[in-house]
Amino acid sequence: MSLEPRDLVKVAGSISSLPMIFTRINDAVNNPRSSIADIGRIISEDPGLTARLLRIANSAFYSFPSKIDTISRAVTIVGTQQLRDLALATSVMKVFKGIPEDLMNMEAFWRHSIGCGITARVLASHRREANLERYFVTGMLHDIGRLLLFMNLPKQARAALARCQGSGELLYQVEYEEMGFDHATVGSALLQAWNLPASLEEVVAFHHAPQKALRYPIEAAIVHVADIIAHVMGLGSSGERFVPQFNPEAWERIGVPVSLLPATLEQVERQFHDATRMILQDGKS
Amino acid sequence: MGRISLEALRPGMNLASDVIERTGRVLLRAGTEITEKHLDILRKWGVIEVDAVGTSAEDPALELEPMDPAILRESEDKARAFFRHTDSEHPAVRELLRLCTFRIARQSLRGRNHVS
Repeated sequence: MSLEPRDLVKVAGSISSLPMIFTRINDAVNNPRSSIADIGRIISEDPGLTARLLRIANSAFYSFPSKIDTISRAVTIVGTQQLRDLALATSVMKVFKGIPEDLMNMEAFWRHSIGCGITARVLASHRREANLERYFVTGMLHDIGRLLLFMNLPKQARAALARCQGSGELLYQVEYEEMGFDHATVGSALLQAWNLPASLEEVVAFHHAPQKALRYPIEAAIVHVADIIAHVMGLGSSGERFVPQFNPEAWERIGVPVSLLPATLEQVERQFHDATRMILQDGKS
Repeated sequence: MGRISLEALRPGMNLASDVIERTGRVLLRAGTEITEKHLDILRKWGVIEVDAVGTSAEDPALELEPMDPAILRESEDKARAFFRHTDSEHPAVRELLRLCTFRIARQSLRGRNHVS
């Protein structure tokens, strides 16, 4: 019997949908009739989310000169789409629970995810891209498929991890050999089931093969390189024990000079502690 | 002389070429001697690197930290093992490998392990 990534998402039960609050924010952002005040009101209904978003709005991410103390101000200054993406990044953590600790340390997993998200955001800022939060959330979700594998195929996932431990192979390649698909495909199927934008779906699907991302080549290239940098910096862990393969064309596509790498890593380092504290603080289950 | 990151730019250095904002507006002219105020302006405009004269020699931040060669060698071996699946001939990968080596070395000096 061959399992399809799509089936994995179907049996996923509790994670087959995103938290209601996010769906409502998303609908409001996409609805041209809803106002900034409407969006602010929906967010304010969730005190935890409100607190987290305000912390992020007041962090080094933005370094606004004055304190942002209300959601309506945050919506005006940070932007509705940006706030929506930040809400997604922080609400997605609540969805995954009950993953055996010996398979994956969840804190380490989210640290790697946040590390990749921040790096993607910094690389995108070097290119003066418009919506930096889109890069942050895409980087944050790039390995989400692995959580689904741990939840629904724990036996196979454990076997893949054990095989890598012994052989020194790359986990995503072993996943493919053992199951016929890897965490990238699974993650992409999940994002599709969640009705998230097509860019997230494509970039997550191809973060190890960015040359295949035809519609969002820049985004895919940035997340591909960001994942590698997060590994190099040893930020958290997603179960992969080695630096993933580097795609030179993806690097060229981003167009950031090599001389900028030390400064990029420093910038990530500075934002990382702040961001993990902000996001993990009450995101813990 | 050459392109350096804003973090490495210090008051007293000189700009080797104009700093131009994305829209084409010139923020600072070549030859400007950098002051704290200029640094502030560049930061506010999100400038990340500039072309400056007379950099690395007088900038302690750019100098390599004195590091025990044995620790450095050991760290490089660890970093190379960590990079075993990726082609280290590419300049970007070479640079990442170098940065990774220093991170491991600094961490091992602090008595912690980078690659578990």
